[in-house]
Amino acid sequence: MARNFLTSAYRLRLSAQEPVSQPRPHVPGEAGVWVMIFGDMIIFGLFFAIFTYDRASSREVFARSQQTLSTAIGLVNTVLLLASSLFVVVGVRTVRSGKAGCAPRFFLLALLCGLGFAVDKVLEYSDKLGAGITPMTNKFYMYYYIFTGIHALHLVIGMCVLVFLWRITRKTSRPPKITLVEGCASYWHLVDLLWIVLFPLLYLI
Amino acid sequence: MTQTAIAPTYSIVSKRVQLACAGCVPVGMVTFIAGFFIAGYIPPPPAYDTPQQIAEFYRHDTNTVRFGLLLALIGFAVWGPLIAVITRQMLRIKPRHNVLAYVQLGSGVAAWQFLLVPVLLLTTAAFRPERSPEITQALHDLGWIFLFMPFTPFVVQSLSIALAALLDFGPRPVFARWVGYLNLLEFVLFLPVGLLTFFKTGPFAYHGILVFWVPLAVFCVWLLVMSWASYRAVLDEYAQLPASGQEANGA
Amino acid sequence: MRTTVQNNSERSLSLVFVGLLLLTGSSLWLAEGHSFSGSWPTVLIVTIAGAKLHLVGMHFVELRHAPLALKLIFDGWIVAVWGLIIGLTLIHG
Repeated sequence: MARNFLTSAYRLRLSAQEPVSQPRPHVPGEAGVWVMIFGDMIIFGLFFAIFTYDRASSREVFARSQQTLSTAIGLVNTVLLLASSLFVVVGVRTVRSGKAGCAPRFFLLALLCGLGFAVDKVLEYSDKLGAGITPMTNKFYMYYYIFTGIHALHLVIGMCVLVFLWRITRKTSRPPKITLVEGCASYWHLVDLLWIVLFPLLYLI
Repeated sequence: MTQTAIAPTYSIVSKRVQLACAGCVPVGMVTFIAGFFIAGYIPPPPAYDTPQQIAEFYRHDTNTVRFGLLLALIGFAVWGPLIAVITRQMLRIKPRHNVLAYVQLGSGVAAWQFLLVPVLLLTTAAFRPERSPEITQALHDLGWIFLFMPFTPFVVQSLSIALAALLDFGPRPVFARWVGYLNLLEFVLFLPVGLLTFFKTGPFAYHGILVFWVPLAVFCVWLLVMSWASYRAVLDEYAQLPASGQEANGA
Repeated sequence: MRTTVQNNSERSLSLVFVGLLLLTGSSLWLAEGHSFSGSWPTVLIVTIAGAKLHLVGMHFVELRHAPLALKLIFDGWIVAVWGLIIGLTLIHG
């Protein structure tokens, strides 16, 4: 399905009057947004370290609890976020090429992927909670709920950002500033990046 | 509010007052950190301590604890002036977002309570250390939770500053854009403190790395950054005024 | 007119995405045969995660076109996270 939309992106370029130039070396978005993104990455890095440290001293509990997590859902979620990042970068490039009018569909697709992730999370949580597993059950589940919860909060905020991107790119009369689009896109990629580490950490290793 | 033919000294005094409001913050910060350190709260007594252990903490070197807390009370005095100068500078932002300045003022003033009252509660714990350990622990818990859990006013304050800074489309923005983003980041970094209510051990307990150490560090960084940003904003404001002081934006 | 550069950049996005899927799949495969006493699958899985982070950063966040400092900080974070996870796992394992 991703292929079809990439093909439409190709067709967009075909119809462009002038060639798309490669972006000059620049900071995606603006420098300030990277203060926020790196700050977030650092705090999550701390989360990862704390989890791994506790895991090393409670191997069996962690391994046993991990078995109850559904790798299938985790995998689906990973693919959803990877696809959403792909849609976002295609959308950004579409805006940059001057064909901002076609960009909204990509942000909408990314939003749908995010929504899928959110639904999955709700299903996962309710399944666990239904089985009586809460953040107080043991250390593994504490980290599982809290870290995926904080990540989910980032996801929800990201979805609002995607809605914002969808709306501002719909106005073809006034194309949005590329730095604003890139900054918002970078925040969404952050959500993907954090999950890329969370998934193996909680579900696989 | 324009006033003509104002004596130049009036402008200079109000400029200096604003600068002092911003500049005193690092001094206050060092004072309250020193106070907590002297009192023995860095590193903090763990949440899983027994009442006897907490009572022992207050019985041992009681006057040092009391003195450290007094220093903290003094150090937190700088919060008020900082809120005021931030408000004053936020009111300068074009297009005008005065309501954001008021949100910042309101939540900042509320936040002040959650810095001062906890110090007094902990002082109460240290007041009669010979009392029953359960009571001392209750007072200690009360003070500690009061100090570390109320993220609400701090987060609302940061979000209003962030919004105002990022929506500043004036020719010379009052706050640098990264300051806005830093305030957004503060929201995430303060999130875990709400979890201290559920845990007595681990990183989410009230002595834990994500509830005590990280928020304390974030708080200090925020103080220094906002102090610097306000100071710079004041200098910027007065650099834009004509020398005669025609438009005296007195504080 | 479409230039070769555009063709290549679109194609590289598709390749990157397929690559990410393959990397994800392989870490899953490694995890399936994984018993918690062996460290090698863990090291490989975390390294694969690092590779995915790098790919997303360079091609999706488009840090390829960013100043060197930003790229270094980003890759530095990847290395730090990799090091912390591997290090803390192996110390007790």
